[in-house]
Amino acid sequence: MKTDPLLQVERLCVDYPGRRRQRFRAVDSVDLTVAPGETLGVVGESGSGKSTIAKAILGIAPVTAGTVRFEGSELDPRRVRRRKPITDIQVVFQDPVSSLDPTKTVGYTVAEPLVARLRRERGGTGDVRRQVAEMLDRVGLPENAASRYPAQFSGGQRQRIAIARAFIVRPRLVVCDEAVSALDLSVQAQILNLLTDVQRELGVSYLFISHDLSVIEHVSDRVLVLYRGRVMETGSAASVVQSPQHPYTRVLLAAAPVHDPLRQRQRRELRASYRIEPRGAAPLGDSCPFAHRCRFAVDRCFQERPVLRPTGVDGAVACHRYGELPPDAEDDIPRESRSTTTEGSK
Amino acid sequence: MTTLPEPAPRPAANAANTGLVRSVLRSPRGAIVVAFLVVLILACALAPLIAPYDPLAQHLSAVRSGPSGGYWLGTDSLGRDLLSRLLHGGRSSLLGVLEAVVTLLIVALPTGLLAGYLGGTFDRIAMRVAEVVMSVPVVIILLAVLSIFNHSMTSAMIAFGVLGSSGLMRVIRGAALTAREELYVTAAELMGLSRLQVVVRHVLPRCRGAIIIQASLFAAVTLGVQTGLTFLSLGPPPPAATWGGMVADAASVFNQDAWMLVPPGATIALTVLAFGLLGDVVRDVSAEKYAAAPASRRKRRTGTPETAGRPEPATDMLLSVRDLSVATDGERPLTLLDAVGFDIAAGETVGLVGESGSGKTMTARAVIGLLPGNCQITSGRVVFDGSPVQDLDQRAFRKLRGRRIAMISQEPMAALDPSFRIGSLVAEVVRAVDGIKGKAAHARAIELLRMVEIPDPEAVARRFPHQISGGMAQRVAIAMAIAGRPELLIADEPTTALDVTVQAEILDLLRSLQQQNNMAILLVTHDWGVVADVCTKVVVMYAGQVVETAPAGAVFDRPAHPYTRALLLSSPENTHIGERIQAIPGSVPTPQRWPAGCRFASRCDLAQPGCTEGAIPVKDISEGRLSRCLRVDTLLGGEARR
Repeated sequence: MKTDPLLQVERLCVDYPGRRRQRFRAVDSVDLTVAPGETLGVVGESGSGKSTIAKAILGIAPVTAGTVRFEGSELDPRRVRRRKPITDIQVVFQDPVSSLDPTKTVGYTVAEPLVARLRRERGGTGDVRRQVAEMLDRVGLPENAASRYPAQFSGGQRQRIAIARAFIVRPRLVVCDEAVSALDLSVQAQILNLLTDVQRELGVSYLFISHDLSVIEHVSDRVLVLYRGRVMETGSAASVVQSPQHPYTRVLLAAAPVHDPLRQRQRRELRASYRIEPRGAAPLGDSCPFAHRCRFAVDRCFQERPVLRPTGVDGAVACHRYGELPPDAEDDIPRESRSTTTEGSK
Repeated sequence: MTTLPEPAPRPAANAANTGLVRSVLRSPRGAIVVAFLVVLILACALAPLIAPYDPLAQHLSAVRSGPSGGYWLGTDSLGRDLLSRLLHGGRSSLLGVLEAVVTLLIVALPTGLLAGYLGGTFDRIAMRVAEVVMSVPVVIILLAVLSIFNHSMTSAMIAFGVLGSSGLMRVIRGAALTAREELYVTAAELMGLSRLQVVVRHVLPRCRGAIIIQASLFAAVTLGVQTGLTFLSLGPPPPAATWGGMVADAASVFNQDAWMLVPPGATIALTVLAFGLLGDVVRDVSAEKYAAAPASRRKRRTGTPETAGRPEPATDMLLSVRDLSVATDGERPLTLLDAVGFDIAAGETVGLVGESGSGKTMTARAVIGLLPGNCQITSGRVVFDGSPVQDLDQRAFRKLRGRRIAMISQEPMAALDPSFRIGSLVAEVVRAVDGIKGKAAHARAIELLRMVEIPDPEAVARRFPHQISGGMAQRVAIAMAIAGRPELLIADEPTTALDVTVQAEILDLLRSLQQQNNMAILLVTHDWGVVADVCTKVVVMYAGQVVETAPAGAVFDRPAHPYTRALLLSSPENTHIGERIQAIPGSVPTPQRWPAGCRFASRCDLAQPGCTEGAIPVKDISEGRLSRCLRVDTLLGGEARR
């Protein structure tokens, strides 16, 4: 990468207290970078640790090990309540109901971070009202929205309010934690367009977290695939989605239904080819976290933890069998040839 | 789950901008209560000026006189004017209440808020102290305080406030704990507000309702306790005027003159009532302020039936719905479903597609007779296997439900009682539908769990619902649904809450169960991918109407309604990388705002003046395809040329 990254996360580990005094490692040694103006998509299933990464960066999850650097300087790993506020990082949450204070007007909610920053910098709060009006207009809310309460808005409009609150302080990085997942398809489209428009205008970076591959593919420049707290694969959005290298990425892609019954039938067959008899999930440690579900797993996968290996221009994959796997060109390769080439590897 | 239509946003929220006091006064209850309290407080405060007599002056010529021109409320056994004593006595009573409530708030507010918000050591210490305080006998402490401080009612009331604060503190702590989990509190922390600012601005308002209610109740209780203390002459010693003392005087001569009890008794009762009511009114009004504005429901023309004759249900179908309308109860009913119609053949999978508020869940629930309590079918027919079911009562429906028609929902965990093991939950359904008991029921339950491809069903049967994953829970819910070998399974967003890999497995399972048992499925979903995966037929709904019915293959290639096309295009999957998504402008109209003409017209790029003039009829295009669009020929023609 030519430019210095805006956000650089190295060897990040997050532990949560688990049952019987054991600690549960939600995020395990994750590296990631976000360049200025770039969108990094983080995709994974529930329990993959994608939201925990966001929380660790924001300072609302306990960081066990690793560093988070923002604009070159290391962030205080302590909880946000105890550290100096960083207004250059903002967040848009999934739940548009809980993320807005029902007892405050929309104008107050949107102005609050700006006023808080101006107060800290001992600046005047003179034209806050004008800036709020501009921002509300920018996210497509009616003029009188500022004096109304969140309950009077629909889910999509509330998400616009949350976006206005995040952008009012002109942040450099916005963390979108499943920001469009709770929305209807047509509203989701409007919000995704809004997010890309604002990014183009203001040059902000996104850390975009979602479980929806089609959304991730649409908004992201680069993609990070997580499974059980570890990075499985990373690379440009196009390369990860079109030629996934890690077996897990392939399973994930094959499971997402396409909007076409014929192609979906092919995808279903592809998915069936990955399916194996379920084995109990291996304890995390010195094994590939996906080995128990992997059609291509060999003994080594259960004994040795795979490291990220570079794949192409800027991609990397954590798989022992990288290079040995048959290509996964869905919809093109006849099913028979695939099953014969992969039969022996089981 | 059913979401009732959101109230439409009202352009100008007047209630939002008026002050709390004005809103309280505007409600009739509030006006009466406030007026009573203001008069009482003013009268007591100005007692030295307005009381007709000295409260201690004895008029021995008019002992126990009863109400008269000279003594409005009468006199007591020493000839003292009751009204004057009442007013003077009220001063100490009301002041005492104020002292106790202020003390209560000073102690309970900060400790409760900080204990809830900060948690940790402070919380633990505060809670232990509160427990100790709660275990102390209040009356004994008050008696001790009164004797130490020489019958000073002020010190007694402050002590009472401190003792009462542990209860309020726990209530506030609970509310603050809940508020701490809200994302807006996290957002406030992230924007760099200090802890004090977060607590005051975002946590405190959440606790306000509880605080107001508790404080007003406490005021009422305090008045009672204080009256009790003065009744026992533990407060200011006689002959000083106190309400409790007046009650005591009256009680001693109750047999000769009952009237004397009325003025102090009524005043005390009314004041206690007023405190309680005031709390209610203030809480209601302050919550109303930022609740959604109640939508003005205007009377709307309901859509006229689309064809000349009443559409007849198909007799050769498993399920045939015709002209089904559902509306809310009440004086001004709100139509939620408008002349919905579709068919399901045996063994077929029909996708009911639409966004929230389209009425798809309402349709599914109307079919199975589980409409929410405030909704009812106003017209139309639902014919299941040749016999109409729309008018069946709940008992008759119970014979169908679980046996011939079954249902699974988006939240499988909600369907599983957390206090029973999976095995007994499934066996319970088996007992109900098959009438078998004991080991046979258990064996059938295991068989059902095996049918839904749960590995090691015996082990899973021994687990509790919280010990299994969401995907497993959905499998158990499916096992319970197919226990009665239903001919129709209604699946309401069965995979929406699941991961894609689990969703794929559940859809595979539904497909294989369907093939084995020739079971029809009505699949309610908003996900086109799910439709493409399992459905043979699609029914698209928009704003309470069916806008398109088509075979699943055709709907993706050549949608026959502009809404279907727009919805497909608004998916990022159908958008080329780097291009903007073709989002639909505007939003779905709420039932209050359904127009007379085409409900999609205002967002449609094909709309013409004719589209908004009247109800749009359903057009039969070809091979069972239906579209509710006047311009369907242009739409399909344009698509074909492309």
